[in-house]
Amino acid sequence: MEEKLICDKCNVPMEEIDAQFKYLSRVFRYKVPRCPECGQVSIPEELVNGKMADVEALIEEK
Amino acid sequence: MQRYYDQFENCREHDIPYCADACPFKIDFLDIQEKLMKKRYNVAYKTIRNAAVFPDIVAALCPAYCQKACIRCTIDEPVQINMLEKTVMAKATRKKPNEYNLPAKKGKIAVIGAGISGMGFAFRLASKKYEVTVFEKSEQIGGHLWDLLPSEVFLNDFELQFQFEEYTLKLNTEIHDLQTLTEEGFDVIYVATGNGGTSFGIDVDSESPCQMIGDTAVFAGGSLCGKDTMHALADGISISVSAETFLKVHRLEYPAAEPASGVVANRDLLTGTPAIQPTDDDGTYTDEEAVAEASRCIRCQCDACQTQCDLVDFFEKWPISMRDEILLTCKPSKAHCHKNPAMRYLNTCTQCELLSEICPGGIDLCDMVKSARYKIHTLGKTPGAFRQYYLRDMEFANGSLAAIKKAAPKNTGDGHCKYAFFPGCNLGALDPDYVIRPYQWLLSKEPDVGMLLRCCSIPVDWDGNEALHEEEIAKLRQDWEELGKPILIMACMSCQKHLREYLPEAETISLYEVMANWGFEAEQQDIGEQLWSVFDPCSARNQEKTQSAVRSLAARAGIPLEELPKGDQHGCCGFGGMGDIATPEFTDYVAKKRSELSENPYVVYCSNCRDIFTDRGKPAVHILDLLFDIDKDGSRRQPTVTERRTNRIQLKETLLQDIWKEDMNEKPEETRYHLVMTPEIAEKVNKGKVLEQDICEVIEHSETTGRRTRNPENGHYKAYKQIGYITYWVEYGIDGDSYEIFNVYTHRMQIELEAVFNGRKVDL
Repeated sequence: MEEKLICDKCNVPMEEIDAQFKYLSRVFRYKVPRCPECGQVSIPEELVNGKMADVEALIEEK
Repeated sequence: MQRYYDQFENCREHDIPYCADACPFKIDFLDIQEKLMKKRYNVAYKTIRNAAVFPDIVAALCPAYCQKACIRCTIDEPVQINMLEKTVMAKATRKKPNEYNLPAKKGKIAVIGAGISGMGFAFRLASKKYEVTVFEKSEQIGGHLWDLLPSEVFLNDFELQFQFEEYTLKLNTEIHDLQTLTEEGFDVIYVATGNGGTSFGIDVDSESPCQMIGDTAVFAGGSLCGKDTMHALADGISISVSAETFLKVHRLEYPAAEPASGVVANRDLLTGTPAIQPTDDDGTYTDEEAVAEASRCIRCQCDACQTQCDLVDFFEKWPISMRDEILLTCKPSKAHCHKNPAMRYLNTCTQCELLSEICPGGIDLCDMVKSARYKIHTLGKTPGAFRQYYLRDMEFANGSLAAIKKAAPKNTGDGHCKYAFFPGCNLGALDPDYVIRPYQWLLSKEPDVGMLLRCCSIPVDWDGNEALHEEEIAKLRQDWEELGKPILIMACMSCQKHLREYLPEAETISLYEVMANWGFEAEQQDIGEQLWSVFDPCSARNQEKTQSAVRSLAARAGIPLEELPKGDQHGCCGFGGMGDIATPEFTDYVAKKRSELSENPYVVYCSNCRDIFTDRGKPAVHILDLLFDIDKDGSRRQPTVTERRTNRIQLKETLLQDIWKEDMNEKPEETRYHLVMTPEIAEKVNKGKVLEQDICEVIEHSETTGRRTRNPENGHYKAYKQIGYITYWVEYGIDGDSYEIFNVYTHRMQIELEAVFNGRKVDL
């Protein structure tokens, strides 16, 4: 995680924690920055444009 | 889908070229050409030998049927295949056949006549290691070749090819009846007694001169059946296959005539290039001459789909493999096999329908793609993100802030009108003047022109959403009926094409025909010597009246025009089918191809073409730019996705005020947040098709729920909200009343169960 983000609600640093994702009826889990208190998710742009976009494209044809 | 599947029987992808089709031996000249280009004469020699058995005899005697069939005959001279073949014979250094140590096979073969046909037949079966006996009534082999060639040519070739094969040659042995041979236990007899020779009672004029005598199969062929020398040899070769079939499965079959090839060459590749004349004294080509002559071959193959259809070309798929992938993709998602190999290109196709028009096999792949889009949508497999932007755009265009359905301002009756102007939804989004100015002109010529400003519903058709499409068409029909079923004056060719298909009861005419017919007087444009080309949109392909009206209007404005090389026979500009979200590279690829059809700037009459070309730097103006002096030098900045909405609102407001003297009751929602962004971020936002309204929704969500992260280093907040199928992330800072936007990005994947964390449910 390059950015050191803080959950604005709980005022604690985000940590790499599993979160659940769903796309076209397929469900999977991946570690992303999350607030350890409230579970708020924050997804960095690099992940969105990188691995996430790859997986989206893959699922669209699967 | 089965209906489409059956059409692929007609695909000519594998049909052989004209030269091979005319060749008695079906020699694959494309293969030889490749080898000649690499100066690989020995392998080229092998290719010829494998097909024709006696290559030196063939090279010397063949009258070159292939050359008469060569497509080059239609513009200059055929590829000199015979000369190239002679060059191969002269330059090949390894002519010795391979020696194979195969076990002998069961089967006794008798050949009557040692002419070229009998020898060809005997060679093929002897090389398969059958027991072959050749009976010849004279004292020499070769038959009528003695009258055609120096004996050393054919005798040497016979010796060369037969050097590793065993067969029994009985010279000076005349066969008087077949009974003696059958009694000797021959399983197959080939009667090749030459022109006017004994036929032993076989009907040589029939289509299949073969019969059973006891357990023996008897075939007749070659000059006996009226064939010329080359076809006599070809007979011997092909009948040897029938003989072997008989030996293996005891089925008597004469070789069937092959159906003519349906190959259609790409004539665009034909440019006048005279045949190369050999300079060597022996009449064969030098290496360089052979390469030059072989290069004259355009490699005839039916590739109309690859050369004309952008989708086939870009995805490098032949239609037959596309057929199979599409059928697989159309299976229900719970089917045993549930891959979606065609999902991407099904949702990318521009639906320009060019391929179905030009496919020589009449395969309607375009319609198959369209049906498949409907099918996968019904199955719930279409990724919603592919067309969310366009569907929301349609909803806005048909909403109360943008749509108008009104009779002409001077209409005092029942609200019915003779005509209604149907500008489509994109023209006014690009610039309200594109709608206002033509409408004012129409009213000046004919007071009874109403206005039907809305989307034609093509986005839902392109999305394959059957239920919503029917609903939208029903609303459109109702609007049209409430206006008294007027003749619709269409400014957008895609809308017109769409209505012709789905609202055929409505009479439509293009705005450009109306302008040409109602006497539009164009101001002369001062544009110097520059030549322009009219780019006909794919939706106006074959629409001659509209096309000539546009050209006539341009000519009235003094625009010097030059036609594109193939007129309207080209695909879409790239916008059609709304596939740019599924495969943005494809849209760029298609747009580039269309931009390069001519170096001239384009005059277009579709606002989507205008968008596509202008966005990519190809000079293009709309014909309305020139006729109404709107943006005739094409310098206007393209509106952003948000500005397109405000343009539509402004268009409605202006029309109501100027034409009907009414105020607009509907007001857009006040912008809740004052957004500030750098030009770079604004461009990124626009390119990602993110509306400012979407950004506001994310901020609103963030501000009201407090769900956001903070970067302690720069104080930026980051928050997200899922809108429809897309999740929007916004990084922003607050400066007094302003919200400065530092970054925006989106993804299609949903974040799930964020509210359930560590066994607790959190309020979002």
